[in-house]
Order: sequence, then C-alpha cells, then structure tokens
Amino acid sequence: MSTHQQRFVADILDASGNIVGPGPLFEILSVEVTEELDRGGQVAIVTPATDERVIDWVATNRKLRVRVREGTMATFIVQNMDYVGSGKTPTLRISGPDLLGELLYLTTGYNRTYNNLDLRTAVVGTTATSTSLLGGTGWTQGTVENYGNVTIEYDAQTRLAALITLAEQLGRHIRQGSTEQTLDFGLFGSSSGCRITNVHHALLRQSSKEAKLAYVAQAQIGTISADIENRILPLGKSKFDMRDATNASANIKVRAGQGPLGATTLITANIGPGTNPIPVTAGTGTNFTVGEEIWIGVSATWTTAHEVATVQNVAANSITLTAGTAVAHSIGDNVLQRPQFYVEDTASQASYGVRENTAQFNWIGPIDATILADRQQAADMLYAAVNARLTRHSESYRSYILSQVVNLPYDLRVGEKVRLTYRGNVKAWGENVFFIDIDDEFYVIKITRKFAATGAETASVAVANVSRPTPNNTNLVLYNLDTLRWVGLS
Amino acid sequence: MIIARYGATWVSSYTFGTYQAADNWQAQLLPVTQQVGGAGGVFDFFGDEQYPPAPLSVTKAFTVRGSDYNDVDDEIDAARAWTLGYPSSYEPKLFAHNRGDGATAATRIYTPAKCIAFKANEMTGKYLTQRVEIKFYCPDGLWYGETEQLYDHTFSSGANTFTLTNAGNYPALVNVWITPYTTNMTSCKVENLTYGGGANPEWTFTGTVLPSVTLRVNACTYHCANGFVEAYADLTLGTGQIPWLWLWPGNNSIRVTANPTSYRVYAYWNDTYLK
Repeated sequence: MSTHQQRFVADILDASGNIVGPGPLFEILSVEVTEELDRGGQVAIVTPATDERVIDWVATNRKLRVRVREGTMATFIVQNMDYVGSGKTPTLRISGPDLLGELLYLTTGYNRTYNNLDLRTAVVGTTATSTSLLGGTGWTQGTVENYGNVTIEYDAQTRLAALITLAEQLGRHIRQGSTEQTLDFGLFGSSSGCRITNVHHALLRQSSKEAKLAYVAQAQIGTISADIENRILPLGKSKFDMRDATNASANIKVRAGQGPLGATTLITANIGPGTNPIPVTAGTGTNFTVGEEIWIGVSATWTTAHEVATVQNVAANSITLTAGTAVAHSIGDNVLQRPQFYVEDTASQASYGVRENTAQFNWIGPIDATILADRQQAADMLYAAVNARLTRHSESYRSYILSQVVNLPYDLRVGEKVRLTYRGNVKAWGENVFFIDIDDEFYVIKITRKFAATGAETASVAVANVSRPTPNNTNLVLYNLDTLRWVGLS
Repeated sequence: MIIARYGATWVSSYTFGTYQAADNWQAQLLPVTQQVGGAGGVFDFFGDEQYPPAPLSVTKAFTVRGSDYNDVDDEIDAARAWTLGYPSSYEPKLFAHNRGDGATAATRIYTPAKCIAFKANEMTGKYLTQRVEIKFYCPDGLWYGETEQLYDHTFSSGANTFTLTNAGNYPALVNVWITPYTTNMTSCKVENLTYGGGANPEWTFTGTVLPSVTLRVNACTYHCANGFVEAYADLTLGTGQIPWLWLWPGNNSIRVTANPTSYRVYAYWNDTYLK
C-alpha cells in the first residue's frame, strides 16, 4: 500500500499517446531522465520484475509518462525491457528515448528542398503540413525563432537528424518544448536565473528547497578541448562556395588557392567594366593558367567590389578573361588564382594563433546552379552555417560535469544559462586533480535527473562555456547512426 | 500495544504465548538526506515534510510451557508451522491491540508481515519450558484498522458534502465507488476539503457512467474502472497529486459534485496508524 508521500508514478500510454490500463505504474523503484541539447533524451525506470501491472500492460513501443509531484517529468517510448537479476531483488529496467525519438520514425524522403523559405515554415509549416520537417509527425511548434529564410536540401535523413542538421548549420539548437510533442528551435542561451553552488554548510533554509538555488557536491572536468577553429573554409554540396553571397556585411575573406600560396598579382592600371585583357604586374601574368578561375578585387576582402572570372589567355603583363571584367577596378587591385573563401575570428587568432579548418556542409547548395538567385540564397546559407561553426569553435571548449546536484529547478532546460559558483577540488579520471574557483555563467548542455526510491532526487548537469553539445556522448548514437545511414556506411 | 496473533485473519491465526512475552520493535521514519560537497550538515530532500515510514522489524518472544518434553516440543512445532511454515499465499499479518482495549474487532489493528526467523534453542536444565523468539518483517511500516470503515449513502440533489473519519494517526487512502441511478453520469468530482498540509487531494472522472453501473476509483490499488472497463484515461487528479485520494487523521469533509445529482456513494478505507 502506498502512502500520501509517494513521489512518482508512470502512466501507461498506447503508441498514439492515449492512457490505457486501470491505473499508473506505482511500484517504481527509481527513475532516471536525461535531456540533452540537440539530441534525443533517454529515460529509464526500474520496477520490481514481478509487478503485475508492468507484466500485463507494459510492452515495447508503448509509452510511459513519468509524473512526479511537481508535474510531468518525461514521456518516453519503451524500447528496452531488461531483467536485472540482482540477488534477492529481481528488477526490470524499462528504458527508451524520450518523445524526440518519435522524429526518427519519419524521414525527409529524397530530394527534399527548402529554397529560400522562412525557417518557421520549413520547421513547422503553417499547419504542420506534410512539407515541413514536423509535418505528419504529430509534433507542433513550441518556440521557433523568427530567423528569416533558409535554403537547404535533404536526402533520406530522419526528421530528427534533419532538424539537428538545420539547427547546427544556423548556429541554433533544438530541444523538446515545454509541453509534449512540441519543438523549440532557436538560439536559446537566455539566463535561467538558476545558480548552482557548492556550500559550506547545508542549512535548514536550503533544505526547504529555495527556488532557483541548487547545490552541487562535486564538479568533474568534462572536456577541455584545444580543438579551436578560428579560420574556416566552408564548402557546400558539390564544392559550392560563398562567392555569390549577398550579405554586404559578411565577414568573408578570400585568398589564392593553388599551391601553398597560389599565384597573385596586382592590376597596374585603372580599368572600367568590360576591359579585356586586364593589365597586371610585369612578368606575373604567365603565373596563371588558361581555364582557371581568378578573383579580382580591391583587396583580398570579399566586401569590397569584386568578381570571379575565368582566364582565357595569359601573357607576361596581362590576363585575358572569357568575358572581360564585370565591374571597374583600380591600380593595385588583387588578382588571385583559384580563389578560396573563408571566415575567420581575428580575436581568437590573437589569443590562440591561427587554427584553420575546412568544413563540409553537404546539405547546402543551390537548388538550380544555373540560377543566380538560387546560388545567392545557398551562398548566404553557407555563410550562416560557417559563421555559426566559427562562433562555436573559436574559443577553447570547457565543460564540467556537476554531480550529485540537489534542488535543481524543474523548469531548468538545456540550452539555458546557469551561474556556477564553485570553490573546491575538481575530479578528473576519478581523482581530485586541482582546486578551482569558478564564478561564471555556463550553458546547460545536458541534465540527468535521478529519482531514488527513498524520495531523494539528485541530478548531474553538464555545463559548458560554449553552447554546443558535448562530444563523445552515448546519446550521439541515434544521430550518428542516422548520419551513417545517409552516407551509406551501414 | 500487544502483538497478539499471526495469520491471514484474526480468527484463522496463531496466538502467541503470553507467558514471559516480550515484543521488540521500533517505528522509524527514514531520513532522506545527502551530504553536499563535503559541507557540514546535510541537504534534506523532504524539506519541511516528514520522512516516510520505514518497514518494521518485529521480534516476538515468549516462553512455551508444557507438561512434559513432548508437550513442549509439540507446542514449538505448532508455533513453527504457523509462522515460519505459514503459506505465503495467505497474505499473513500481525494482529495487535492496545492493552486496555481488549481484543475486539473494532479496536484491533494489523500490518502485513512475513515470518523470517524462528529461534527455539534447547537449554540445559529447562525441562518444561522453552524460550521462543520469532522475527517478522513488515514491509508497509504502517498499521491498519482490522475493521474496514464504510460509508454508503444515496444522494438525490446538489453537491454533497459528508464526513469520513480516519481514526488513525496517519493519512489513509480511501476507495470511492459511485453509481448513478437513472441517467448517464457525465462528470464526477470528489474532493477532500479538510486541510491537512499542502494541496487537498481530489479526483475528477470525465467519462460517462451508465445508470446502475458503478464507477470504482480505488486509491489503495491505483485502479479505476467504469463498470468492468479500465478507465484510468478518464481520471484527472489535482495538480501535482500522485496518490488519488486520502483521509487525514480525524474528521475529513468530503464533497462529491456530479452530474446528474442522483447517485449512490460507497466509500471504504482502513484507519491507518504509525505505531
């Protein structure tokens, strides 16, 4: 018989989400709920293996909605039912993905394109139409950012992977909304108002669960990554690049691309549109090759007047183009061989030195490469994607795993910021390694809440100084499997 | 309080000996706390609420007397058969009563129990007596009135408030059955209006109950049925409420609001004690 102090139960739902059965599971020994930024979550409950209601009513692909006194904690799809024969107390561990796992059941099909389409239309559609990424899934809009237009093409991704890809390439995030089957899509990163701290003495007032103040027993170093990128050369589908971007304020730069440096030269006379051939520094014209692309601009910066043209002929002091110059150029303008476009963060370079990387964005490319507008839209999208990557990778990634956190507010969500104040030793590889004194804001990357049979509720929280998922996490599996399937490795 | 018998029912149970009898057990509440970051003191997960009751470990000891060796051995064998050898499928219980109350059904209490040890060691020099020590494990940690409390009333109009009494000292889960008479019942809400700390428990049934069909909302077993059809999907609980309905110790004012207003209410519970 249960008492009025009971902490949690689990309603049994059919695959459509309707409650079934005579009542909830109430003989639950423990609950573990994990929510992670840009990933599907995981939920597990442990019950006695002999619980008749479990035996009669719980089966794979049914759903369980775990409720605690403070409200619904999580709903998950029963995927695994593992008997654990632990001595005298045989138990059953029932686990599976949270409802984001439903978005694995539908795919994008082949050749799904969103060409210069408003983000909200692409994600939700006006009425969750079948053409949107949530169309037909039963999911609706939670909070979806008013981002503007996007251009992206999908080929046989699950809806979840498609959403994660889209968010990642815009520098945005996804998570389950505050109500079931709703999706949040956006920058996130707002302050939760929550402070996580280690304390000198547990006081009665703290025991009475002061809102927004959580207590951490131990901090552990998660990831300290030197994997910094502060110059990134992006390529879209079929080596599509940013040359046709239209954003005048874009931080796009260009450099010669052949060989270690590529051939470069300077224009030696002012020329108008249509000039052909173009005069270049004496003796340098033959450094170029017939048929290759060159970039001509005031400097090696994309924002100034520039063009990309094809070399038709070369001479010692001039280069002939297939169609002449498109715009006017002045003495001293750069001519670069086989231009490569990139973005960089000079502040990061000042701190860490130049860390260059190339990045492939397979989902971005012009829907019709012969149409300038399509190329421009795709180039702008590619710029957005690489800029997002630069923002997330231009500084050293530090994450901490805060374990045995108590009194963590129920409304704290991944993607939000918390203030961490921690003075004490931190653990790495299971040992106390050094003393740290942190008083800073961090992004919440992952939350695992554990409810024990005693009524004790603890959590572990992964926080990071950069808003991106922690690598090397088992919860990547769903997404990674999906990606592997797409590239044909499985 | 005297722990007097062990068995499925008072009538069909083993009566412990009373000669040199001694009961040894201790009611406990389980602290749920955790040290935080090497700090002094602990974090209390239950805040300003009381901790949940711990299971009971009960030791019953008494001395068996007989007219000869065989008589004593027979007594001990009988005690062992009724306790350690008791078929578990009979849901055995320990029965107790206050010393001043006598053993009337109305005042007896029980707790589900299982015998886990039986000790009757032979001692040199003790010919006609033998000390017996029997251990029981009681998983609930609570005691319940042996007599089930009932409330059975037929209403014909309006929202109806009535009093249910939990004579114990601990909240008691209460089962409520409602049967409409002549027309379909399309809504039904049952609330405990008596404040006992925190939000008052309530449930609302939103399904349709046909005339003469009984809606059973059994809080003790978390079982809801509309007639013989499982109907938990139509049951809504108060915000943040986990158990379905309970009675605080003492008098509880219960209100039923239903459409139609003509129905029979049948409620039953066991007074619940922390002893």
